[in-house]
Amino acid sequence: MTGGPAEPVLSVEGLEVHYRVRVPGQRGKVTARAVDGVDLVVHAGETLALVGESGSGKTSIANAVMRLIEPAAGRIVFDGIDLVPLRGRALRKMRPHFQMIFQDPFESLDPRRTVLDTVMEPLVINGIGESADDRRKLALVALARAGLTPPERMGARFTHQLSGGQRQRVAIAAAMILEPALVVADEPVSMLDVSLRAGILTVMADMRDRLGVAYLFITHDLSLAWMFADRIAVVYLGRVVEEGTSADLIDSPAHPYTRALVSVIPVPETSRDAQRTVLSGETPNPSAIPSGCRFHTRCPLYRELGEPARCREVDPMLAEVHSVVGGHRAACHFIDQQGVS
Amino acid sequence: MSLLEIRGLTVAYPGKHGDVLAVDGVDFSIGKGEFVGLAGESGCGKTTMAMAIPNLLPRNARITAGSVVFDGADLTTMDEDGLRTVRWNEISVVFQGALNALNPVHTVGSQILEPIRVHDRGTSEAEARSRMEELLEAVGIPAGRAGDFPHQFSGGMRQRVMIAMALACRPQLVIADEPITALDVMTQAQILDLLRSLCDRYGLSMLLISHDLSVLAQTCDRVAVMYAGRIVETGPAGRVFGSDEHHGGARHPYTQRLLRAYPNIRRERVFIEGIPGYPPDLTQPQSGCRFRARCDLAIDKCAEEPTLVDVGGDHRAACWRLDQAVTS
Amino acid sequence: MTSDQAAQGIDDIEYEKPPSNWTLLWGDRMGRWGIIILVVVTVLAVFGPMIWPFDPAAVGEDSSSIFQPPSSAHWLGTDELGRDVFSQFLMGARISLFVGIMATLIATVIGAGIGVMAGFFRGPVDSAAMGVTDFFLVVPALPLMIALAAIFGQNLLIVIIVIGALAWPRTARIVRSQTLSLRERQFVPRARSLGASNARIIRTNITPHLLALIVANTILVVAGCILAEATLSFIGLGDPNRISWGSMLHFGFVSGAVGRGAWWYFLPPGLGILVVVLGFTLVGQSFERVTNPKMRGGA
Repeated sequence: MTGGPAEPVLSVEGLEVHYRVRVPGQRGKVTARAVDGVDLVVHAGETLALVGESGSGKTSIANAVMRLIEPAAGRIVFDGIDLVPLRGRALRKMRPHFQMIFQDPFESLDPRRTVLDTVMEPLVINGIGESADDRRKLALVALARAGLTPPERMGARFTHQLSGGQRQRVAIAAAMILEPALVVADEPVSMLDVSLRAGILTVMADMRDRLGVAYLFITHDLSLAWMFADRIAVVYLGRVVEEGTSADLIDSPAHPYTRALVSVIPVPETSRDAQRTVLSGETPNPSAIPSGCRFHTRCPLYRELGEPARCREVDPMLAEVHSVVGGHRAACHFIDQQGVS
Repeated sequence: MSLLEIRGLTVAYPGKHGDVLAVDGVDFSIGKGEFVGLAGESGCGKTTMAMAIPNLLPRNARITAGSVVFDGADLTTMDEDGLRTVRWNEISVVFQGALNALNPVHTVGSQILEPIRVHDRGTSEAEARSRMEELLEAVGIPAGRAGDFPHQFSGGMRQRVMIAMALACRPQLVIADEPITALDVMTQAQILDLLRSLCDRYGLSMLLISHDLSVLAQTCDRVAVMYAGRIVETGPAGRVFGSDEHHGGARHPYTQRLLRAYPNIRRERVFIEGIPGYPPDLTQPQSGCRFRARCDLAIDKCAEEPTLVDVGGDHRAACWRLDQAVTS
Repeated sequence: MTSDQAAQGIDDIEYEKPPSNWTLLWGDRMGRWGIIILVVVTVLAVFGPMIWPFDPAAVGEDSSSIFQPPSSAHWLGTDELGRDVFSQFLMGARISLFVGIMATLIATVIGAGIGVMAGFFRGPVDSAAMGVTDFFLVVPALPLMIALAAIFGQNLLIVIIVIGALAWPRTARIVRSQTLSLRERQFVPRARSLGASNARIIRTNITPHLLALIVANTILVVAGCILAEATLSFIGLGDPNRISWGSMLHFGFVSGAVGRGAWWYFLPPGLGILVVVLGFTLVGQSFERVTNPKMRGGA
C-alpha cells in the first residue's frame, strides 16, 4: 500500500502504563501493569495496526502515545523528540503533529457545536489561518475531503444531527486539518454498521495516499487490521507478543496466541477446512500477570510440550522469526517447535 | 414439520406519518433442532421480528397481520396467560445487553433457580438445585461458583449465566439477540461454540440474531438476511456463504454487497467495499424492492414487490435480477 | 462514491428543533406558577415604591396615627411610629430580592469556580477544595453568620458578603460532580489532543455544559439567601438603615405589634418571604427537571 520503510515518525521504547486499581477480595489498591514494556516503531506514511482483546492495553498505549495519560516508564519519541518529559506549552506546540480519531463518534464531538465549528476548532486553538474566513475555507476543504458534501450545508449542521458514520467523518476532517504526520485511530469503525465501515476506511486510506499520514491503527479486529495496515503488532496483557507485515502475520502466525486468534477470525464463508483453536478462559488481570511467559496459563503449545519450566520462569523477548519478507518477530521460547506453517 | 412457522408477519410502530412497519410481511420458519441465524444491519427489523415470536414487543408495537405458529398453536392469538406458559417453558430469550441484566445483589445460582421455581412449579427444591448445577456445568461454569455474585464474573462468564438461565425450564427454542456483540473475539468463539454444542446436545432450536454475517457463517445451519423489514435472502449457510460454484453463494445483491464489506483472510487481500446510500426511511410507505435505490442492478421491474424465489436446495432470494446477480 | 454516500440521506431526514428551556419551563405547572409569582413580586418591588404615595420613612403626626389598622388610605395600616406599612412592604421587597440575588451571585461564582477546578483537576486540588467545601457545609451557618455580622458591622454590603460566603458549598459539590463526569466525555481528551490548554478546555468544553445546571442551582440558592437575609435582619443583625422584610418582622416583634394583635404589621412581610421563597423554589426545581433529561418525565 505504501513504499518501503522511511524515517520512523514514532518510536516507542520500553513503554509502561500503570494504574492503581481495586481488586475484589484484596484490601487497598494494587498496581495494574496495563502496558508492561512495549516497543513500537511507526515509519512515515506507514500504517501499524495494534491488535488486541480488551485488557490487552492497546488503548492505554494509544492514550500514552497521545500524551493523554502519563506513562510510568519509557520513551515516546516523535520525530526525534521524546514527548514524555514535555509539559504545558512545549507539549501543546507538538500536538498538531500527532492527532487522534476516537472510537465513539457520539462521544468525541461536542454536541453543542456545528460541524464547521468542530472542524475549525483545531485551527483556532493552534492559531492557524490569517482570518476566520481563511479558516472557514480550510475547514470546507477538509469536510469535502472527508466525504461530507456539500460542505457548506454539512458544515451548518450540529454534530448531534448527524449519523454515526457522518460524525466519524467530521472527526477525521478535524484531525486531518492540522496535516499531522501521525494519526492514532482508536477503533474508528467499531461502532459503525458494516456497510458504512468501508466508506470511513476509504477516506482514511485516501488521506494516507494524499497526505502521507502514518496511522497507529488500534483495533480488536485482526482481519480489519490485515486489510488496512502494512504491519500488525499483536498485544497480549500489556506486551507485544508478535509483529510482522500484515500478510506474513496472518499467513504464518508464529506465536501460539496469534495462531489461536487467526484461527477464530470470523470469515463470511462456510469453511470446510477450519481448524479452530479456541482458547479457554480469559485474559488474566493485569494486576496479576503470570510469571515467565505471560501467555503460558492459556497456551496450547505449553500444554502440548508438557509444560516446560522455561515458559513459567523466563519472560520471552521478541525474537526474529524466519520469514521471506523479514521484520517478523515473536515472543515465544518455542517458536521453532511448532514450525511456521 | 417446523417447530416454528411464521407467515406474513407484520409489526407496526406508530410513527409521525402513520405506521412504521418494522417487520413487513415476513415468512420464516425454524425446524426442530435447527440453528438459524438472522442477520441485518441496525434498524432492519431483526430484533422486532424475533421479539414478536414470544410476543415480547415494546408496548407501542402491534402485530397487525400474520401468524406465528409454534408447536401447532398460533401465538399471535394466544392470551397473556397462555403466552406466559410458553415463555421460558417453550421459548426463552437471551436479551441484547444481557451482560448487565443480572441482578447484582443475588447470587448467580439463585438467579438461575428463579425461573425454575416460577415456571416449573412441580419441581422440588433439591431437584431444582441439581438442575441449576447441571446447567452451570453445561455452560462451562464450575457448579461451585453458584454462590458467587455477578460482579465476580467477567463479561463472557455473565453471558454464560444468561444462557444457563434461558435453558432453565428446558425450552424448545432459544432466541439469542446479539449475545456476543460486546465480547472479545476469543470469548465470542467460546460462546458460539457453547451455543452450538447446547443446540446439538439438547436438541434445541436456536435463533441467533447478529449484525455480523461473518459470525453466523460458521455456526448456523441456516441463515436469513433482513433488509428494511423484509427477509431478502434465506437458505442453508453452506449455500448462502458458499465460496464456489457448487455451493452457489449469496444471490441477493444486498447480501452480496454486505459480504464484500467484510475482509476475508482466506481470500486475496482487497479493500472492503461499502454500500452507497442509506436504508429507506421506514416512516414513509414502502413499495417494491426496498433495496433498489442502492442497487446497481435495479431496473423498472424492481418497483414491483419481489417474492422469495427458490434458487435451488431451499436457498431463496427476493430479487427480480437473480439472473444477473449470480454472475456479479 | 463516498461523497455521494454522505450527501445522500441528509435531505430526507427532518430534524426537529428541541423546545427551548423556557418553553419547557412554562409548560411545567410548577414552573409556571413560580414564574407568575416571581414576575408579580418583581414588578411590585421595582415599580411599587414609585407609585405608592407614602414615604416608608415618614413618621405619623401624632399618637393617633400609630398602629392604625388597614384603611383605604393606608392599605396595610401603620406601625409603631405611624409609618405606612404597605410602602415599607414594597421597599422591603426590593431589599430582600436585592440581597438575595447579590448574595447568590457571590455564592455561584465561588461555588462554580471551586467546583469546576476540583472536578477538572482532581487529585490534590480536589482534596483541598472539597475539604474546604465540607467544612463550610457542616459548619452551623446561623451562628457563624451572627458572629461575622457582629464582627464586621451591620451594613448591606457586609450582609450580602456574609450570606454569599456561606451559601456556595452546595453549588460547589453539584458542579464538581457534574464536571467529573464531563471530563470523562471523549470530547475532552479530543480537545486536549488538538492542543487546547486547560483554561480553554474549561472555557469551551466544560462550562457550556454546566450552564443549565448552574442556572437551576442558582435559582434555588436565591431562595435560601432571601431566607438567610430575613433571619439575620429578624434577629437584628441586618442593616438598620434599610427596610427589608426581615427587619420589618424584627421591628414588629420588638415594638410589641404581636402582643397588640397588629397583624397587618408582621403578617405581610412574613407572607412575602414565604411566597418569594416558594416562587424561587418552584422555578428552580422545575428548571432542574426540564433541563435534566434523566429527571424529565419522572414527575
